[in-house]
Amino acid sequence: MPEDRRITVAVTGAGGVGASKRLLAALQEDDRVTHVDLLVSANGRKLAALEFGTREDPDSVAQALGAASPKVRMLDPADLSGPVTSGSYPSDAMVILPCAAGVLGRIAHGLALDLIERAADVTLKERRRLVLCLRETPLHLAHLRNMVAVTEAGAIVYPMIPTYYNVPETLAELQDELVERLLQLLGLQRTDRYRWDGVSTPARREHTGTP
Amino acid sequence: MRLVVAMTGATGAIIGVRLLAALRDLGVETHLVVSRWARATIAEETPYTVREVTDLADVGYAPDDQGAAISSGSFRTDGMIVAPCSMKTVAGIRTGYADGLIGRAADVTLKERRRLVLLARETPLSTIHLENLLALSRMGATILPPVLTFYNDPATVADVVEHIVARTLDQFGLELPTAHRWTGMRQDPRRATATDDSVAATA
Repeated sequence: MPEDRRITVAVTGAGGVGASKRLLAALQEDDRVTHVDLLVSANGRKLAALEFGTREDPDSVAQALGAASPKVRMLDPADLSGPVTSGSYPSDAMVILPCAAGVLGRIAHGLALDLIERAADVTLKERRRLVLCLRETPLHLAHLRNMVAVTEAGAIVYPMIPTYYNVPETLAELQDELVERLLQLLGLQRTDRYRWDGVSTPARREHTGTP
Repeated sequence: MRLVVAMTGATGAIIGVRLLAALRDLGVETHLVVSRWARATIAEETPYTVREVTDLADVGYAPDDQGAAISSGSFRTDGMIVAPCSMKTVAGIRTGYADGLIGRAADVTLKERRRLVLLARETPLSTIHLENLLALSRMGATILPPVLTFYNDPATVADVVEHIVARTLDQFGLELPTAHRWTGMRQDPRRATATDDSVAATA
């Protein structure tokens, strides 16, 4: 795995921007990651404003997401000419967290209406890793068809479903585990805290006091 | 109302436990099947014994009791919930491989065109998982993965579980008193601190 990783992160209009903030924090802290391109859709900004209790403008949202490091560049999702629109621009992987059902549908159909969807399109055509953190339930037939379509095109559908076998005590721990598993999919694992060894995990041992 | 509830071997046994307690409080008659690996997750993930969980239901069945009442369409129910629902159970129901009472009861629920709700718990999902879920959706099942939600402004793990149970009960028109419902961003109390101007403008 190269130690000069460039990751594209998109935040779209589904709840759960707390997890986006955790992911961005992990990428910024990680010396293996040299650059992060961040895209927040208009609906993503609305939800971020709601969940973080901040304003909707891009600067306020970037601040609330903790995108403070010079490694992070925020791109305008309306600008289809932005760098990530081309496969010639270096990017190793893209994560959409959270991924709205409509964004999934457009990616599944190659409909690149904004720079987020175009970047996903490019990630697929360049055979790079694309992870879609879908946050929708229940799922109807079109959602599921779209999930099959993007998976067949090489994406990883990673619904934001928590695990309970680590007996998490707080919501922060649930999100921390979700982000750690996501980092594993990017080849950026940080800890073995949530790794099942056939009997337990370090997190589980800590929470339950069992061997 | 009478519902079949199955718990299978995916993480999230606590969701099944809370669901059973909520159904009991709502006066719904429950017929419960707990798979072998759900017994393990109850022990591993919850503070309850399997006995305490089965006591929440009106009737309990062994997972290999193929001759149980819920094996037959003649036994009337209002539907079935599998919570949590493992990918093995999804595959078994999808193919009609009714090996065991859970697969058979789901088979019956589909053939009788009753509501089947699957809290399919896996992430990420392979093409096999997705094709199975897609096929079940075509057959009329409701695929309801227990995802994290945030519009209910959860503060604890229990809040996350509570909301998924509320959304599951919604599938049967059952109202959980603790349910949080989205009524539009302008009505959200969290918004007031964010953009006072726009709230005032629409007041």
